[in-house]
Amino acid sequence: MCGIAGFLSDHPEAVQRARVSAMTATLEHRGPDGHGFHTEPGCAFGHARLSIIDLAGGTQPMSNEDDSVTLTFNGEIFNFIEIRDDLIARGVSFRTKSDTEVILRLYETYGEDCVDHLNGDFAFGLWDRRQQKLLLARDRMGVRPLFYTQARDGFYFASEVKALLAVPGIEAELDPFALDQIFTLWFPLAPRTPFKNVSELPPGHVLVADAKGIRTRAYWRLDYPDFDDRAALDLRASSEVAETLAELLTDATRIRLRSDVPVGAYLSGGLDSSIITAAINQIAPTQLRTFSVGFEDDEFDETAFQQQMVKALGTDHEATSVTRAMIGEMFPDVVRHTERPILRTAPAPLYALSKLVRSRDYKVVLTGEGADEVFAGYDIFKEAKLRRFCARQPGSQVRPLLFKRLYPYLPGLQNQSQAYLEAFFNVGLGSLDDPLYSHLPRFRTTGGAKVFFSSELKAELKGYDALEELRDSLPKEFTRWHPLSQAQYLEAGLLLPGYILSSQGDRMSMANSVEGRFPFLDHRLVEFAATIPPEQKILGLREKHILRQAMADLLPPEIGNRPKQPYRAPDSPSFTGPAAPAYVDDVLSPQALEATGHFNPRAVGQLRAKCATGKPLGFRDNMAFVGILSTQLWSKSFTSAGRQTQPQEKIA
Amino acid sequence: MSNPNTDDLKAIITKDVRVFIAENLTFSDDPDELDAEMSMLDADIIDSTSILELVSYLEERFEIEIEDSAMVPANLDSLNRIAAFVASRLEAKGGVDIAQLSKAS
Repeated sequence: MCGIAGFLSDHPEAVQRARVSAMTATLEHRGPDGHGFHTEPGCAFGHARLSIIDLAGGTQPMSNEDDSVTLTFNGEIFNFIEIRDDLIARGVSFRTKSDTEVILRLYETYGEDCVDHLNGDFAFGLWDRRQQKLLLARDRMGVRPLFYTQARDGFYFASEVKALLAVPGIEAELDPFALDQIFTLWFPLAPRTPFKNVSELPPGHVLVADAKGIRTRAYWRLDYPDFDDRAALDLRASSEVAETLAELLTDATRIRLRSDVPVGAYLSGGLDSSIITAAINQIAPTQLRTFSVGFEDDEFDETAFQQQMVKALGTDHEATSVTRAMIGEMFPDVVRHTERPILRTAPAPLYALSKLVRSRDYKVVLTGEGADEVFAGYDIFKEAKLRRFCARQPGSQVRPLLFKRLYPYLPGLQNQSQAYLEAFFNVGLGSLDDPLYSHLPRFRTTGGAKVFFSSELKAELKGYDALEELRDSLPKEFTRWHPLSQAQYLEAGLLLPGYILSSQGDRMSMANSVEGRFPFLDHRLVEFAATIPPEQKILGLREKHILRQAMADLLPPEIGNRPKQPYRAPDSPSFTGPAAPAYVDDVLSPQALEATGHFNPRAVGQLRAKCATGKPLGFRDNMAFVGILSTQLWSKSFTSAGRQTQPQEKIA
Repeated sequence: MSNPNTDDLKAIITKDVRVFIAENLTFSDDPDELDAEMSMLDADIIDSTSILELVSYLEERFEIEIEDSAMVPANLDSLNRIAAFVASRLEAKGGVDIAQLSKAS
């Protein structure tokens, strides 16, 4: 796991070397074990390495014998052993035992279609000298990041935007439409990023840059069967479906244990990480190191469940306890790594967790990420099902009360009348045919946070509707899918790469040079799960039913039957009160808000006054507070307007 | 103590509630911009949290009790409905000292 950077631009060799070296230096956290560069007329590649496989032979950038193909690669190819054997059988010879060389040889054999053979988490740049062609590629689910920009003097790409900003002439500026999208959807719609003129290569895409220009295409898409096409579903008895699921998940876990350094696991105490931990234990029954986050706030803490699993599996477990003050203190670093405004503090504890892992000399962890998207674990799926159930009998006195059962952990909801419950969950509103039906209440609540946008920003965004853009971006077959598949697509196809795998995933673990691996996101499992009938994923209101059935034998019943506990962390309370970090006053001062120009200083002042009362804030206000704070911190880290808001040097 | 005219009472209630909404829910600098007939659910001003904020404000400010069954959009979804509902609760309590009520705001 590593950081990559490169460009197509003609400069004297010394300039190319200096530039690619400056870009790569910004990715030090992703690859502290060594740097490598390759320059030739018109092209330069850089690589910051975190050594995991073939520690001696895997240095990069890697070129073939005649230097006609050069590769800089971030990630892991989990099926590299099988690909290698297959290519050797075809007469291809290898110099190293690395997965890097497997990509190089695959390209020599299959050209651009090499990506179809890869099972892994990857982002790479490949230079084909003969064809004078750059190929960029990104894994199917979007685990590894890849950004690019067309600058005046050439085309630049890198694992993180900060490497692009190391190029003279590339300046950060906030894209107001990306901000609107984040303050509606929680993520910018790829290829858009919060940086104007910087794009993200969407998951499952390749990009080709050559003399003809720049083109991107999808080589893989998340797909679901048509609603009325029962034949496309796996209609075997649920026990047989569960058996196939267990086999695939075991194999996905097995190939993710391939590493020349020790592999640990995250164990949150929830179903998904418990399943992965149990699966590892079964495959490799040596004592496993597991890691978790605990919270000082009981509301968020899952320590008791973690201890149950630790006892059941006998892992060597360690937890880091996260306090509000720590979240407040870490948050500026968190935003520097997410490189985008975020509406929740949830990434911060994961930043603390990867720090713990790294301090124990572990570089690789397996986690349960992806199970909620692939097997329908999130409350939003059940919420949408309930809303449809209520909409079938408007005015029912009883049906809306089920929302209280759905969210037992939200005290505010328990006191609501049937009429307001209906209204809050948009039971009578909007069309059941709206492709975004499942997510409308969330998008609506989130969108409320835009009330804090400055009048200049509002004017700039006049007439723009992030939901319209999202609707327009959906695949054409989307409307033919089952409602659960539609909701799953919004989560697995968009929120997962746009927020979960990036801001909470890659960025938080790689910030401390730790690589996350996610068996639930093996594309074979993802493709198989799409054929499982929706009623086997959510049976009644029991989420992830088929997954629970498949793995029941491996888990203590208390864990196997445990309802989903959403992963949350304290939001605005981490930044208020007597222990509030000092930077909050600086970046949220009226002067700082005016300097960046994105928010209305008076309204933000009122929100801060409301926070200061100590009363718990609602979703919208919490998201607004964290969103405004992170946008201001983002500006301060990356833009010249934001830097102007830094306070005068304090005299010691 | 005189029983004030219902319209005066509603006017006082409306004025106070406008300020509360501007300061706590819409974060607006102009309390008067809120259309008194507008549905606050449709305008995304009221959600599952802010309805509780509104109710506890009304209970504290006007010293009334709002039981669960009264927490319905018919009573609370627009400024005019809130004013009518709170006024009826105050009148049901018996006399209201309008001067006192104005002063407290």
